Amino acid sequence: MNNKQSLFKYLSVRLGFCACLVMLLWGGIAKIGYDFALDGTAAHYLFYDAEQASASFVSLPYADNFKLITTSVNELPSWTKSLWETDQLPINTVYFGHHATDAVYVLPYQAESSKDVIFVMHYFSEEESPSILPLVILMMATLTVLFFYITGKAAYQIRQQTQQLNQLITKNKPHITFKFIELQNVAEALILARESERHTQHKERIFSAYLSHEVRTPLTQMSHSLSRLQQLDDLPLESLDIISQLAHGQSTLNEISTAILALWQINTQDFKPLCLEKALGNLTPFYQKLGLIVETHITDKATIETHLPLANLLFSQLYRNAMQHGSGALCITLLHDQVIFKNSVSTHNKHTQGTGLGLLLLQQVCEQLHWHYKIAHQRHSYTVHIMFSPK
Amino acid sequence: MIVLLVEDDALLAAQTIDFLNAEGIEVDYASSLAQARGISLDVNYDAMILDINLPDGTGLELATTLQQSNNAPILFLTARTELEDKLHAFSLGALDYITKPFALEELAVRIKLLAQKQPSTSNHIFKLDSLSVDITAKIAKRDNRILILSPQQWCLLTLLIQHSPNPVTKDTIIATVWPEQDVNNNMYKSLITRLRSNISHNNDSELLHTLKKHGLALKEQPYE
Repeated sequence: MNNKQSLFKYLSVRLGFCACLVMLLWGGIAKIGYDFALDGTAAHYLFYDAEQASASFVSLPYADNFKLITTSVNELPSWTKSLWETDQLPINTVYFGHHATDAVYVLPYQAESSKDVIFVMHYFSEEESPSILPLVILMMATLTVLFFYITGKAAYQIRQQTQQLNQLITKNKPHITFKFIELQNVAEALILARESERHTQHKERIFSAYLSHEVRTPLTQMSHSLSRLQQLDDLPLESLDIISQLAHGQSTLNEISTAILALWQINTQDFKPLCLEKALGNLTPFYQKLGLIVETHITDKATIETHLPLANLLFSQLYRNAMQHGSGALCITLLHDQVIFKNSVSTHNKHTQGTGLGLLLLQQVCEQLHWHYKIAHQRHSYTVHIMFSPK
Repeated sequence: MIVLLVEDDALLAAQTIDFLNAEGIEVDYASSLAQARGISLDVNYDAMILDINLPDGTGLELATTLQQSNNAPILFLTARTELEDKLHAFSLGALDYITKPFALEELAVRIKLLAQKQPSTSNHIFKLDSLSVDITAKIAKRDNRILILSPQQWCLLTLLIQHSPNPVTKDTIIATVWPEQDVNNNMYKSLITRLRSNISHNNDSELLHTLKKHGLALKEQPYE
């Protein structure tokens, strides 16, 4: 069933209906107002009658159930007469008043100052002229209810449709039919964008796999060659240090390349448990040999599931950063869900604020591993908090 | 021990064959499915190492064929890391699975363990601190780290194990490792240095101790 329609049509039909109803109601009210002279047209008819009388088209005095036209003050009702005598009825000005059960319009008309004043009175029985106020209130109430119904229903429909749109995005649904054409267009654009993103990711994966293969192949060859070398006998004593350095370099290169490839495309299957105390314990002696003073405070033993080369790359980078930019001891505090690195900033070394490749790497690694990080830079110290709980 | 290696990467295969030969493992090599089917007809292998991606098919297909004629345990060698491949390989009777890139020493140990099928309790296993040496299977480990030892290092380690914790004199070592051969001091020092660095990495405790005029000992605590 294809019951799609545009949001414009949906709203314009309902609001148009509402406007038509307003016009109809207003037309009805205007008609009643016209019939009972409850609007500004009363003045028109008063003057019309006065001009007719002035032009002698009406023989004066004229009186019927609804009007009185006369030039004689004495023929006027006493209350009108007293108004006239007390100058409360200005010439050529419509006076509206209530008398007994009637609503009365009075016009003292004088075409020229030399002519007699013609009094025109229109009577309306108030019992036969219902008040417009209840009608207006009723109309406003009806319209308000109608307005809320229309806007509420429209909002509900739009909310339903946007929820479907959210489902399309969050639950990765292949296709959803929308009631509104505009939202359908948005959904189709999103589907296209998602397909395009998938295509890009696929291409990235292929490229990453290619890069990984191209990097790992020579590294594996180096590793295998070193393994073969280890099997050989009678190696010269002088060559042992060189082989050891080669092995260390190869191992470092292997770990860094694995970490960098993981920065590009991480595979959660490679995640393994890492005992942080042990990991930091392995790194610390290495950097201590290079002259870095490290103070470790372990309050909790934490083991986390993570990508080992990436985590090692991150920690090594923080040690190296401390060596390069810090002064004094690097204090490492290990809690059950976070590790805090704190070092003093050298006051002499003003050009190093501790923000360089190290922190860029920190940001990227934390993003890949879904870790939080917080950097605090006080006057003489620099603190990096790494929280292992997922974002 | 003889194993079948089916791998289309010639360089990787050459390095693997050399390494396994040095570990005392004989290797029959094929670079394709067809070659593997041809050479494996009348041979009873102790184990088979099959690459999954081959030019004329997959190692998984080969495993199905070979399983009918040969009961040898299979170790799959592949660049793929997907779980489906692993499950498929295991369903075909693979006893082990190793993902490229791999360390040759790990491959050698896995092959040795696979070929044993049921690990014998009669194997002579020497343990000292975190060092564990299976002399029969020629597998040496420090914690989970596999040691790659050259033939001379194996010879020296075996000698030291036989005498542990007592020292072995330099003359005995030279006579055992280099029988009927001229040996200079550098050769002796090189062998000791390599074995020592192999046994103790980074934070590992030292197990190889030199005693003046007494030689070399394999033990936990140094002599006072």
